[in-house]
Amino acid sequence: MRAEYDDRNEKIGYKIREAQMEKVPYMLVVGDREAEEGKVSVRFRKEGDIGTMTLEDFITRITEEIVSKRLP
Amino acid sequence: MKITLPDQSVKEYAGSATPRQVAREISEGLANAAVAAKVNGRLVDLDHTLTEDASLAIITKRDEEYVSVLRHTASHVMAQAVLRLYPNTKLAIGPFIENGFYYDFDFESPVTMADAAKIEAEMAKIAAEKLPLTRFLLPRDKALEEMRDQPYKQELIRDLPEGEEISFYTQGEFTDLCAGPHLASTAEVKHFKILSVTGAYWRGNEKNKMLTRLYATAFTKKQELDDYLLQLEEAKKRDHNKLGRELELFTTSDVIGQGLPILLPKGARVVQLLQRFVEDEEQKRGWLLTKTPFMAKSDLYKISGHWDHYKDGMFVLGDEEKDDEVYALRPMTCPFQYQAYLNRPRSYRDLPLRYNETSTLFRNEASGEMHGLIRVRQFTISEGHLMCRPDQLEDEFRRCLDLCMFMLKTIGLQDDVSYRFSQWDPNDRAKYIGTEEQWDEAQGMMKRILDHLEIPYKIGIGEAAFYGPKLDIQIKNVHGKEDTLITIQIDQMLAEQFNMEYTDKDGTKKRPYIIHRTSIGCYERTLALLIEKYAGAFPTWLAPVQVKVLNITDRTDKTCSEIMEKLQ
Ligand SMILES: [Zn+2]
Ligand SMILES: [Zn+2]
Repeated sequence: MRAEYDDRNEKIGYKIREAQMEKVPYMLVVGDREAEEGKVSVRFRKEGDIGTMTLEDFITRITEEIVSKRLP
Repeated sequence: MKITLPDQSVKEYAGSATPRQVAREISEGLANAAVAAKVNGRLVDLDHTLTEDASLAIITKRDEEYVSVLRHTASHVMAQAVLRLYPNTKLAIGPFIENGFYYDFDFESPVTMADAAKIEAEMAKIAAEKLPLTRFLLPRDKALEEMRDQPYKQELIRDLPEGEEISFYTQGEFTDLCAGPHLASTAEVKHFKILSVTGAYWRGNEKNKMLTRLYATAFTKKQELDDYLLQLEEAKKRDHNKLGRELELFTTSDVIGQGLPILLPKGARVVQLLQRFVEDEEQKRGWLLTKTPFMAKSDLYKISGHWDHYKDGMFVLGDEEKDDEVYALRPMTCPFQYQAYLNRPRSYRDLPLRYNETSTLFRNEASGEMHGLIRVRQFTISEGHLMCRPDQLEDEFRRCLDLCMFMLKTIGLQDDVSYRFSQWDPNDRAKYIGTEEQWDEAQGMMKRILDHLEIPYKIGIGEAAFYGPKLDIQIKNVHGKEDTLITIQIDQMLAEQFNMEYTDKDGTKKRPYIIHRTSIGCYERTLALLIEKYAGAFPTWLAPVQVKVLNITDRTDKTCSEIMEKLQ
């Protein structure tokens, strides 16, 4: 999977906006709560926040989308 | 003379007649509503003289052709406004086009978009003056006299057939050489907008003077104009030449040259993904990969006919006068793959033989034509050449089409395409190789195949390759400009040029048919189309970056790094 990590010391809102401008399909937001629960908070394109899930569930979702070459 | 109306009823006339006369005979109401006529599909003035059998439709405000007439009249209004503001301007031509109109001017001093509002204001004045448009005819010498201050118009008049009456239209103080048709009054030109100012060569020829072209549009209703302008705004935002640069998919460099884009890592990644997808699919469907050189001696192109028919479009390395050997960068892959076919004798059992290759090709096009990723001098394309027996042709053609359609469907462009059956122009023989019988046979066969597959095509005369007819799969870009994305060609002439043959069942030597096909178009153009189609938000499988991990605080840095590891 082609992933990038934005670890800059910027506000999360700013990082999200920038990733949106770059038209990146998925964003995984990780704060204290997510780290503690072992989950990631997923944002998907224009739909925005689609909830928290385990990393494994996210990987299943995106892999299915990539393999089937699903169109937006 | 028989005049056939749209309802298939026929009117007979002993002598000549005009559309206005025919309209009046149908009803006074129609005659009053009429703005123009369509004779054998061509828009003409209501006073056009009909002398031969023809089909005739009377155009009123309710017909879709009305807006074209409106736009043509708007082009005259724009020219009139320009002459009022810049009296020494020389006028060239001002036709209506799809979605609008333009006029080419030779200005004394430069005019830019900054002057558009002033010209529009003058146009509004001319509309408010409600000037009637009247048509009159002059013999050539009087016509030249009428246009004494307009050298471009005089040149156009001189090109008209001798002895023909030349038609003009006048509105107020303004007169233009024009075949028409036009609306009756400038009052109807209400909702218009100047869209851009660009350069255009007189008669489209680079050797001529560069004129200033004002592109504009006009609509019947204000709402239609507003909707169209909004749509243009949206298209501008999606323009690959703007968005593709902003997203760092590609760039260009003055020291590299025009028409030679640089794919940046993100753009190169998308192209790589597309290419892998195409090559894997080709392999699955029985295509055999070749890798052939990027250049060849002139000898190869002399056999293929490119040297005679396409030399201006090639980058030639060396000087024919001085050098023993001259090379040229390849403009297409065909003649190279034929050399692979010729590697050993072939029998009917070897066919079909399907060769594919992802080739970089070079075409020397005029600098003025260069645009982003769409008009380029070097491009990469996955294409194929298939040698087969006559009995295999239809099925193989269908499979090629199926391959292309599968690819278009996968990238989401299948609903945006239309089909063109590109035929030769029998009146321009010099452009083509082969005999009339060969062309009739190849085109007849292609027609049977296309009709059998129920492909809804339109015919493009003069659009064929110099060696055979094509099915072109056409697509419109975000600005509505149509381009060929994919072509599938049937060719029986190059096999002869290259002396390609196979031994048939009965032991006789025969020429194979060749199908040339592309896949999803050249990668640069496909990338451009995808940028525009998805406004840069590619399907996830094609996105250069698919996931971005964002930490809210430094405390989750370690977790994020672990996530990254699992993702990659
Ligand atoms: Zn005109
Ligand atoms: Zn070819």
